[in-house]
Amino acid sequence: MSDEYLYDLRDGQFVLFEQLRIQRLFELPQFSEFTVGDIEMILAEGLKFCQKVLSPTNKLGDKEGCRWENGKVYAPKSFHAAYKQQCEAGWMAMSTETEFGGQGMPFAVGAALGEMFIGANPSLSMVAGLTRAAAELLAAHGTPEMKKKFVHKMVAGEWGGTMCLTEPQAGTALGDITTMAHKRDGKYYVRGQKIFISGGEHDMVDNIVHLVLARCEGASPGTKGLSLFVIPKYRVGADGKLGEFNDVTCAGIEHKMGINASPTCQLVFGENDRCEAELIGSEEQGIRLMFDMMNSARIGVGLQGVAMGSWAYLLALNYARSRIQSPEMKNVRDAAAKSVPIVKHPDVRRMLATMKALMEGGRSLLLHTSFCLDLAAHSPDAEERERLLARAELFTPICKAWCSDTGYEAATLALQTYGGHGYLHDYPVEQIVRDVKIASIYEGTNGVQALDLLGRKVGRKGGTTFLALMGDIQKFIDAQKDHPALGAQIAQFAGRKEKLEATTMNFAMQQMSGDLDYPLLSATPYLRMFGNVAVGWLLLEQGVVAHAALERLAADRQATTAEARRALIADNADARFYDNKIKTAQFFISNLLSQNEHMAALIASGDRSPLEMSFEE
Amino acid sequence: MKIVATLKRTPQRDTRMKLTPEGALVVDQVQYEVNPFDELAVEEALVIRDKFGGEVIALAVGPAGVAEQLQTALAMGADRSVRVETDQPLDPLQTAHALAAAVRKESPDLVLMGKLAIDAENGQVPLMLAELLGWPHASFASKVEVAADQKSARVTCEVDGGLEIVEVTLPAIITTDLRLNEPRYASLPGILKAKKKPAAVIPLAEVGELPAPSVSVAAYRTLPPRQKGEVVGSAEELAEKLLTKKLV
Ligand SMILES: Cc1cc2nc3c(=O)[nH]c(=O)nc-3n(C[C@H](O)[C@H](O)[C@H](O)COP(=O)(O)OP(=O)(O)OC[C@H]3O[C@@H](n4cnc5c(N)ncnc54)[C@H](O)[C@@H]3O)c2cc1C
Repeated sequence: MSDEYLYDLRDGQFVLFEQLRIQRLFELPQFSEFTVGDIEMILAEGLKFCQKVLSPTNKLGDKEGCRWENGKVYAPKSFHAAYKQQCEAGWMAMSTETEFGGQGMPFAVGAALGEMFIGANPSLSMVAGLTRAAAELLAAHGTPEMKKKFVHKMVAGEWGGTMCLTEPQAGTALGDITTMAHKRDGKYYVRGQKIFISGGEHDMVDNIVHLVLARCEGASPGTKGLSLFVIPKYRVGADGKLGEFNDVTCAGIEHKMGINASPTCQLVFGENDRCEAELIGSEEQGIRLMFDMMNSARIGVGLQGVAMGSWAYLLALNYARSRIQSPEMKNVRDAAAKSVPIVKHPDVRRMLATMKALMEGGRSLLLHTSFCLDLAAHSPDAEERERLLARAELFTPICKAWCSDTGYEAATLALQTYGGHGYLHDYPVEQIVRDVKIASIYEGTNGVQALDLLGRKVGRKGGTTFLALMGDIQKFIDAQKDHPALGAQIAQFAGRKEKLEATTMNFAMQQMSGDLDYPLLSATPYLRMFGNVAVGWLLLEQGVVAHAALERLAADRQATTAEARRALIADNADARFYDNKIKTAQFFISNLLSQNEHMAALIASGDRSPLEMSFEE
Repeated sequence: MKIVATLKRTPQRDTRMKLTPEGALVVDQVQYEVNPFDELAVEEALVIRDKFGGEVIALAVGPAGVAEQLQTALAMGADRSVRVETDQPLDPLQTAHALAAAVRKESPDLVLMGKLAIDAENGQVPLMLAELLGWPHASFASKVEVAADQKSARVTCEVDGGLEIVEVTLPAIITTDLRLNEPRYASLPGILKAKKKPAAVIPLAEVGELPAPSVSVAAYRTLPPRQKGEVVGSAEELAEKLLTKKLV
């Protein structure tokens, strides 16, 4: 069995070109150079690169891990060449603006490619992804000198980039950050300690550019008082040449459950008070600027969930087709009955269908959100720009939390599908389970995403973004309620969507009545519920698109009888793909979305017992 | 130097071909890629060009769909492509004739070709092309060293049980073997640039009269399913079985 990374190229293309129809973008001046054929070729070549160059280093990196020695961190041996190839081949910054050396592709295409790169090697892709995110922040908010000095080198992958928020006492609570910046002779100097900094130190690049949250002397307390600084490991002269060491040392790295090949570093800034920093934006703007970077990073973490969960699903699917075990139940009394591939057993099919629906739904949500960002940036229609930016912001915590939770669920289901073999190092699934778990934790834990959704995003602009989304979903329901293949599921879905609206309104009333704790108790199930409705909508839309495509195919092939259609589905890969899509939507609505009923009941129960238990003692 | 690298599209390596009951290949859902040996030819052409300067032309004979594989060669770095247009399956000699016409038109210093295409594995076309052009050829190259004056090349050929080093005067035909190089992956900027590169199409009618087909495929058959293996207890038992079944 091969350990090679797998990606469902057909599904990625389906979402981009048949569901979202991103080809709309190619009519805009920014993207007029692209055609569907180009993007198809880019996706195919990107996948080839991931499978042949990155994927072979994934298991090696996990085994070898990173090594810390006297302040230096050594990446796994196989990484350097792969990373170099990735940079040279231009896969480093696919959606970054061409002005800075990126490839200027739509975010939706960058996200589709991002899934492949993260899936093929999450540890290495984290180094690349953070570098790109840091470079984009500098490109958006840095001074012209900063852009000149740092951005090109970072986009080319020659220098790394990090985001430095976390401190021992300040994880979720960024307001407790104590790293300080003080001014001396017109320059800022930073002192403090950061932990858990991904890519904080390693030997694949010549310099590392840290973006650091710190507090200026005399600044306000809390997150409001934070400022954002750019701090290179080696100072950079006006000529772009590397200068003196900038007093940033790596005091150690963490030993972790997964993403073992990604260096998670403790960094000490200004141990000798010689750590020069440059302010980005103005003082006390730090948290807002950092959130700019965090939003794209959060979509990136959602991609990690789907990338890994989907690869695990495809591995499990192949395994289930080849592993022979037990006869089918209908033959169980026949002693001579032959064992069958486990893919024949209903319980295994349940697992496969669950993984398929969750991961294809997650992919659709991530690409939809990325496409909203494309339109928010480039649509000629100002109303659409504003509406879709708000939509993307509303969906960002869902992308992060729903996709990382379900990615982990899919990975453990895949392991379960393998039986005992999945638990062994001989197969790639156990590593996937370990590697994907972190996605629910970093970039703000999923609990914090739920608070963000409920506390900030849903109520923003008087709830208009939420209501506009519900309006779009209602339009879809109204247009498709008599759909020949999915009508029953759409009716069921309409009920769940109303429940979500009712639950949301209830929260608003509770908050107005001054009860803050009860809504917080339910924030996580609420996010899941919301995510299920969003994904249910997108999977139903896929089902409707697939149904139409299948009808066209059947008409083309003159497959008019039920038998002729079955034959068409049996030997035509496209027909099979579409037919499975319709069934995936049916399964998600009947089996998975029904969880919402349970969560709505739980939220409506008014049960406050967790708030009243005496955990404190 | 002007270098032509020829290429053919072949079904993706893990494809399981389906047959109609009449024994024809079902090709309407087949995904193609550049024949792997031809990919080596493109890579070698790029390496030689980058050393001596000049241009690399990717050349193929086939239907419109082949433009996709030519595009891959352009994305890897070839400068332009030429496709001799035909929807008809050609036999090796006909293909060689079509290629010869296109090569004469370009008059390159070197033609690099895969030693065979992994679909039919005939390996005939390069030799026929050399014959038609009256050029020397070196086959199964694992190393190609073009002389500094660019008038000849020293080619290390993989032969049974060893290596044979030959010198050919240029222009010549050289076919590639697996050890020759590691083909590069198309870079993302390379892919985006590829479609702006010139891609010429020559109608088959323009390459002159083709000979009548001399080989045609009558039918394809799948192999009979493999018999289940059997584990034997000892070497003696194995020998016994082979003897009684008259297998040795
Ligand atoms: C491998 C790895 C890589 C990382 N990379 C980086 C990086 O590159 N840069 C960086 O700055 N950081 C990084 N981090 C840090 C990461 O973002 C933090 O671990 C995360 O934000 C949580 O902080 P914490 O670990 O201190 O947990 P805590 O904040 O202590 O949280 C513990 C638990 O309490 C919950 N909790 C906390 N506050 C609340 C609240 N108000 N309401 C409800 N629940 C709450 C949390 O959800 C969580 O379940 C990384 C961490 C790891 C493990």
